[in-house]
Amino acid sequence: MPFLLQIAPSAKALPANPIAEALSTGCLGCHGSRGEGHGSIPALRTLDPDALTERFLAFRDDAHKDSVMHRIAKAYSKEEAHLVADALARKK
Amino acid sequence: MMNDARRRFLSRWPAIAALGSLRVGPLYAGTASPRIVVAGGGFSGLNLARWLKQLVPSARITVIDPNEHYMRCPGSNRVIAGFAELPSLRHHTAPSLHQIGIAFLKGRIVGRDDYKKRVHLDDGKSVAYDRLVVAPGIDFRWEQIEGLSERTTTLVPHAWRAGRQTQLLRDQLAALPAGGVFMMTVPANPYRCPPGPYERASLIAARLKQTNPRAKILILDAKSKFSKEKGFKSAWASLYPGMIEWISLETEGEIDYINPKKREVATAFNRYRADVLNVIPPQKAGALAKMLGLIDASGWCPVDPFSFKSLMGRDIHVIGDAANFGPIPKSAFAAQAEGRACALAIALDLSELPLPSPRIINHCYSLVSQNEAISITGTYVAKSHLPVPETLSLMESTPTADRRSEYVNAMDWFDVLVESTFGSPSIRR
Repeated sequence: MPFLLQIAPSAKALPANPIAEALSTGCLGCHGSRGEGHGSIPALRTLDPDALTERFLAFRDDAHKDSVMHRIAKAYSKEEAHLVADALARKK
Repeated sequence: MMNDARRRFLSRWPAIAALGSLRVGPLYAGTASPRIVVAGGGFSGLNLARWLKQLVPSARITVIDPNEHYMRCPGSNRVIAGFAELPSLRHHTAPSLHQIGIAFLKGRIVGRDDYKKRVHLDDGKSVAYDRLVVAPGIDFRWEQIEGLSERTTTLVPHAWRAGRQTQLLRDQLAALPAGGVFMMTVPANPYRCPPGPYERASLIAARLKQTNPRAKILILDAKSKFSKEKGFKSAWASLYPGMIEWISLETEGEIDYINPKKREVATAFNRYRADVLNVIPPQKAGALAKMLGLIDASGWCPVDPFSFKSLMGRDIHVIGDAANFGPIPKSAFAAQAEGRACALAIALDLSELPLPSPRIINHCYSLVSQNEAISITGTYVAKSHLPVPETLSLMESTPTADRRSEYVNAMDWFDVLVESTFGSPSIRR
């Protein structure tokens, strides 16, 4: 049997982009392996990619310097933020 | 082997519309299901195994570890300070792996055969792999402190690998005389969990404040600055005024020798006598890495940060504390991130696809009291022309951060880390 690179095992899974996977895998450390969130850590999979990108990019300009997402978002470009959001949306 | 047309096609993967539906492979060595051996069932090894099983469901993954139970260091400072119990750190590794089709083999690896791609176990068996992932954690450089050896750890515990040492330090602290001195020595970088010693001092202070308020905590450091320094110092000043004294390298110089029986530490300028002495020794990659010939003169394992491949073996990857990832701290969370990133690299590499640049996030909380925490967050990227990853951002809690709300985040973050590693939630007590 051939082995597949199955990022999301569901039949409806959208294609995986390795660059986007490499950029977004780190998010799962806090937000959970399916982006499900936990307690005070928000779920990512409830957001559509556009909303997720918008929120992520807003953190870059956050005045609240102690926000964890402010620290992380600073390290991603706008293009990278789009890729991250697309990859995370696929984990639904 | 792949034909050239197919290889050219696959090499354009960013443009591939439906990678997930491509029937790629079998692409290597004639086997349909890649055999992955993971040597070490800690934070990096277990996260790698679980994530790789998601990415490549047909992979036959075997985790090999000498211990059926893993005692985790994250959370152990709470046990030392008496705010949690030792069994809460214990995880039974095999059952949750079996549930998702990953094998667990209790055994000690004693050698490797690069040519036949097998690891040898101490019971004479050997296990074949297509990829070997080595994740052995840390070991100690006893010889770097005169007077210190593995035997002296019953008098002077390190408690830097969780288990009996954790309980021993806890018991010694519980018997600290009224107004007594607890002294901790901290090594130079790199070592496991850079902010760990200062979290330990904080939680011990929280306990002593209740039970032994005249006691003193001395931290003798081989560094002149430390992780989350501003946050820790601000917490110490407000929560434990006058109780914790941090002594930097400039003040005292290096440790000259220790006398374990007298619990004495001599520096270039002074001699200190403690009632409880906790020497955290300088560190190196776990013994397995040395035995497999994967360390360099630094004592750590050099790796290609793109593929996580060892520079000293064939089809061998090294992740977690044992590997040299430059500025990425040796934390359990970073180990988790390395495990997942390495799983992606292996999945792509087995399909002969080019590897993207890994982005690693380290996000890490330290408790400063029973209900307050501070944090640090770094993001790192590997670039093809650099030998180790590069720091993209590094920020920590400001002295005015809301430590109680950080504590709430810390507990949730910890639950996610423990569950992603061991497959079951943590027990808080």
